[in-house]
Amino acid sequence: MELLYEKDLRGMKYNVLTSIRHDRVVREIASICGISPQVIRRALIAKLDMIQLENLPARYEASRNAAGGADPLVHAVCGDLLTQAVPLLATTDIDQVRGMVRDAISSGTPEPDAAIAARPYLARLIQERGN
Amino acid sequence: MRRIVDVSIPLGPIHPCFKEPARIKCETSGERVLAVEVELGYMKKGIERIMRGRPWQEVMFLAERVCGICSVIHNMVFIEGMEAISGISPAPRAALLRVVANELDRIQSHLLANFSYCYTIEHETLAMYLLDLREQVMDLLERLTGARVTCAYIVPGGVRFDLRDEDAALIRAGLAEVTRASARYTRIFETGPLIGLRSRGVGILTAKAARESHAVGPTARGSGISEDLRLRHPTYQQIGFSPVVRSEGDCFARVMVRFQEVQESIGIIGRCLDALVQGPIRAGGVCGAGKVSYSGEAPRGELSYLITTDEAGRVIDIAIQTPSIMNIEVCAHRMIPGVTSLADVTATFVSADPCIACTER
Repeated sequence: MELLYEKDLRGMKYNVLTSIRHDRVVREIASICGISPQVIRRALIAKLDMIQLENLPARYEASRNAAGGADPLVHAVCGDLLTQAVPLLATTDIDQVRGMVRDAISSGTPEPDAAIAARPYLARLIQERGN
Repeated sequence: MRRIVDVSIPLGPIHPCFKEPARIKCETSGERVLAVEVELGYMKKGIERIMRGRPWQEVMFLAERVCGICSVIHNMVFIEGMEAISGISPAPRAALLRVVANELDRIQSHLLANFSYCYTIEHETLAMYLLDLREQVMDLLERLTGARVTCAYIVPGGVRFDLRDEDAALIRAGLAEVTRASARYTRIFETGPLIGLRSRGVGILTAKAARESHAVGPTARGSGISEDLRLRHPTYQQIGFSPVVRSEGDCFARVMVRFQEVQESIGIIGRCLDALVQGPIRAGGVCGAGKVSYSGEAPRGELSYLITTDEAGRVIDIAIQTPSIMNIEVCAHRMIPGVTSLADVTATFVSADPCIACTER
């Protein structure tokens, strides 16, 4: 559906995300989550408005300064980063991922390995939100 | 909107209450605002791109053109960043004169912000009083720097012009008048029943939300966060001051923080003029190669410059993070959702002192 008075902002949003500070933050988030920067960029453009994108470096910095207060399992699957600092996913999504990790841990997988094993699912969720 | 909603009410880009163009799209249920989306891009300057590859002598003029309201701090942060790269220290007299210019700029910016707020809530009398007072402060800034805006006063190692004793006396006399008038206008704001109805308990920002979204400046200090980068600046440490903090977190608190900061700034200027020592206003030094992330406290909050230069002092890369970016985001996504009237949307937005020119640098 074409809406009157609505502009396609994707070009401007992409320009915001490819400036020096933003590009550095996008690449850091991508490496933390084990997802390609292109996928993160696409999801960010789809989910966030222009001012949230402009404020991405400051939010990321604030979340890094506040790191440590969250549930360790949520932190292991980047839950605090992806729901609060860079709101790409809903808390229900993260709860789902956390449940998967908890199941894997209870079936004998070590915690770091379980968190790493959940990354592809996390990537798929982010990719879905970007479409 | 990014998604289809029942009722989307766009405010702006051209709106009588906004000084600059921005579009705020409000998803509403009746008059209650549920969510907000901000659309920018109506005045993008691309100034960071223009700065790249140019010598610092050109970039310092471009830096203060990021924002016409707080041009002195852009000039100051860029030059102090260049000084940090090149190991240059300003002359002691110049360091104090920089603070005087910066605080005069802060006073006029705060008065303009409070004018905008009073105008938005339809208290035009107080608004016009404040605008008139701002003009007097602009005259004092002109007396010190030779210009009202884009003064280009601060240069590596010092300042461009010295302050004559007779001009210092005129600035002191002018500030005595500003002190008296601003105390009266603060009292009018604090006790006005209409102002209280429109401002108290409206657009609340909790300290937790302010921290998460990295709110800065008077917006953060109005929510009880005692952060002010002036506390880490050597000249301010020498002069001494304490940040103004209030805990209410509403529109009233943000405006009152700015009123109280005007008084604080007048005190700082007075102490700087008392401490002025005779001596040169320029120290030697050559701007060279390096990389620095330098921050200063602008009237609206933390302003950061990420600068990379080559050995000729040419700017290779630069990124500017202005306080309005943080404050507009926190305003749009934390303060406005939940307000019970569309009239409060503009009032809340203006209470955060948004500068679109800074945001769209």
